[in-house]
Amino acid sequence: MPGHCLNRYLYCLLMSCLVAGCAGDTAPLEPDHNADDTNSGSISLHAVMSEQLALENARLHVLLFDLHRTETVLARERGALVARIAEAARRLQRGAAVITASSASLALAPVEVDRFNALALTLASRADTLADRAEAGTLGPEQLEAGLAAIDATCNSCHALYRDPGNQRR
Amino acid sequence: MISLYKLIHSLVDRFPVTVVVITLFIGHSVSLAEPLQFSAGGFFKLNVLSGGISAGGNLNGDSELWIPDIPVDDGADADFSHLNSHARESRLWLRAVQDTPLGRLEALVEGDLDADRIDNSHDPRLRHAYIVLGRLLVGQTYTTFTNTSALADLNSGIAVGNVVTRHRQLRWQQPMTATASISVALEEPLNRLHFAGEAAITGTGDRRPPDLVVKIDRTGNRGNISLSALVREISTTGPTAPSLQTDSAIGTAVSLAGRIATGSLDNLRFMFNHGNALARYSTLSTYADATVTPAGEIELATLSSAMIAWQHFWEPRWRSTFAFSYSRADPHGTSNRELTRDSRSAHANLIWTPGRRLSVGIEFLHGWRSLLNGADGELQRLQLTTRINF
Repeated sequence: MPGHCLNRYLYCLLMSCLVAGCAGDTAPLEPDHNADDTNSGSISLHAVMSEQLALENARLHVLLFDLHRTETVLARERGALVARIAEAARRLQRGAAVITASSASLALAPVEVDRFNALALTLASRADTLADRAEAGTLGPEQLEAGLAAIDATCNSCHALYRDPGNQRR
Repeated sequence: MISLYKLIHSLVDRFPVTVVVITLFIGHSVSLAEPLQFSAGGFFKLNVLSGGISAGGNLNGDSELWIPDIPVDDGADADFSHLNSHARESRLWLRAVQDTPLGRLEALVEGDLDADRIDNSHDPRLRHAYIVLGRLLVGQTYTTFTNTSALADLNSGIAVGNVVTRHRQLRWQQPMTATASISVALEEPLNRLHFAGEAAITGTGDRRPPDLVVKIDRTGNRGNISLSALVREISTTGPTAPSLQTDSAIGTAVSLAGRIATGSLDNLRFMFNHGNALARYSTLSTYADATVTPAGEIELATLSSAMIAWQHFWEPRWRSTFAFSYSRADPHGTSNRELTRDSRSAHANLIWTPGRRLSVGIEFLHGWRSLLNGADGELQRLQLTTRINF
């Protein structure tokens, strides 16, 4: 093998090591599994989780238009994304439980506390339904969109009533 | 390398027995008691192209980017007066899945209408036909040497610097860690040879050891990356070789490819390929694997190709890809001077996906090539594409 070819091969190898580092897990896009779920304040973790669900849904849609991979490969990738949706929905469900527990510390009238807790329970229920369907593998695109729309509606209802407008993320 | 070569020869000598054993193995694993889940799908894709005509007004070259059909020295300026349309890229696939004691069994057959075009009749073409049982794949699909997630999202097909070909193969994929795996494959050994003094490139048969591919890939939350190595024997022993003398040479190639997230949905895709066994695997088979000199000796052609593409989502339903790719071959000095030496393509598109089933996009394509004699030419096209998934 000529010397210049060897140099090019070594260069490719060096590049692979460099980019492999970039492709690693050093900066995950998803929220940390061990993150503190108790923060339901100005930038709530549950809102971040809801955004994560929407993002995975968008990724799922992008896969539908991938020209170059086979249907079998795409089905596997869709399966992996649905598993991540189930995981995010479970974290959202746990986050909703924390919201309920934090209502006592908020300066709300008793009637508002009841309403606040009811919305949190609705959020937990809808996240639970979405996670159940995703874990069972019966989550079609229609059910996914409906589940995400229901969660979004709950988030928006609560944020519209109880969040400081200056702190809104959604 | 020599022991590896002997191993390949050994496997080839026993290849029919190997295929029979694997077929029985897969057949045995299919449980008649378990339900087989069938599904079907595909898409309808209509392309409307406006741009310069290919060299000689070739119907295939007018329908897709085909490097040897880029006109050279025609003296024409950018011309968008020529209009063409086709639906030959429409696809249909059938899929069967069954859980077996040996793992998940998946079978896929996929075809399109993208075979050579004579008139407005489009012949069907087999794209994929394979079975996956656990970690074993048998059949025809994309070469293991490529990373299909790194291919750019282009309506006009693929960029010149891509590695993309489909053929028969036997592949084993073994996880190394939770995020990394190694694949080893024996793949169909076809050659593309240029016989000095002739004008065209000749494809030869497969009476040789299969091509050997080893790929390591890693997937993380930020994307994936793969490093592939290819070893091939290029020879004149095929049945269509006109030379009475036979010769052979061992060639190698490497490919570094991946997709790295640059935003929530945005990503950067890349491929860097180099080697003297790369020609049939890259640049849409524009180049010959080797030149057969007048003395009947094989002289391998070194090829370097690269592609880089950025996919940007303006919003979830609107996306664009900006891609550039380049390829260059250095064939032997006795090669016909009118063969292509360099080629490149640049693409920019805007695609709208108003629903889960529909996408509409427009793409600008610039293709360019130069010959060994120094002459060059280019081609511009606008392509409007409508795709409906079903």
